[in-house]
Amino acid sequence: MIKISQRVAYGEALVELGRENESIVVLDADLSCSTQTAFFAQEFPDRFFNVGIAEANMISMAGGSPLGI
Amino acid sequence: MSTGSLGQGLSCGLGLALAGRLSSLNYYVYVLMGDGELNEGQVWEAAFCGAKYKVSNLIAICDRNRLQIDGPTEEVMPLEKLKDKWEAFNWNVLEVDGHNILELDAAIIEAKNFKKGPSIIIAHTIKGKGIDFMENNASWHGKCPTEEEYQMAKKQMAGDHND
Repeated sequence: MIKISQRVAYGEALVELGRENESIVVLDADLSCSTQTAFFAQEFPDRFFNVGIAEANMISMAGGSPLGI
Repeated sequence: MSTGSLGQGLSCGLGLALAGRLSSLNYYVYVLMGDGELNEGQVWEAAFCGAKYKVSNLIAICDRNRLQIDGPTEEVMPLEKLKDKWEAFNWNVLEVDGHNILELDAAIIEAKNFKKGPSIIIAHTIKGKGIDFMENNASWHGKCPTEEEYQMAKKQMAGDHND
């Protein structure tokens, strides 16, 4: 078994899920390197939003977005 | 969608507008905000973000009645110069008399035609307009009228409609 860090596993799994499901969008608060959502950003730039260090805004954006599709 | 009065509406509207754009759906999102609500830091987080992603299908309307729960906005937490603030955040800013439907209508059309980013319409209003004992009175910000007050208000509003 190859051991990889938790965040790399998370980042890679997100990309896999993103390939399977086009409606997956990632919101990030200036932590795309720390959480490895950067993989997703590279693969799906149109479905990745870096909102800056603004977590309250990010969570409410996530709350509003499903109503729009 | 009601998001309450604590500044979450603009963020939700932003998420909604971006989702529409991603899904190639041709709709606009309107967010109605109180002026006192602009005290909330989250509103400005959303302001940054809406400009960054040039979310031109997002139109905010600010009810600028200059009163919040504890009194005048400019005493509780000054908002001026409000137009300059939104412009500094790279929003398209329009100002209207919020009681003038034609002005509001024209501003909404102008905002819809602006494609470079989000728009905000600052609608100048008078709280409780048309009811003499409520007009410009912060104590009516969130209070229920008594039955007698309600009847008086109804009468005055009916009179207004007959003008």
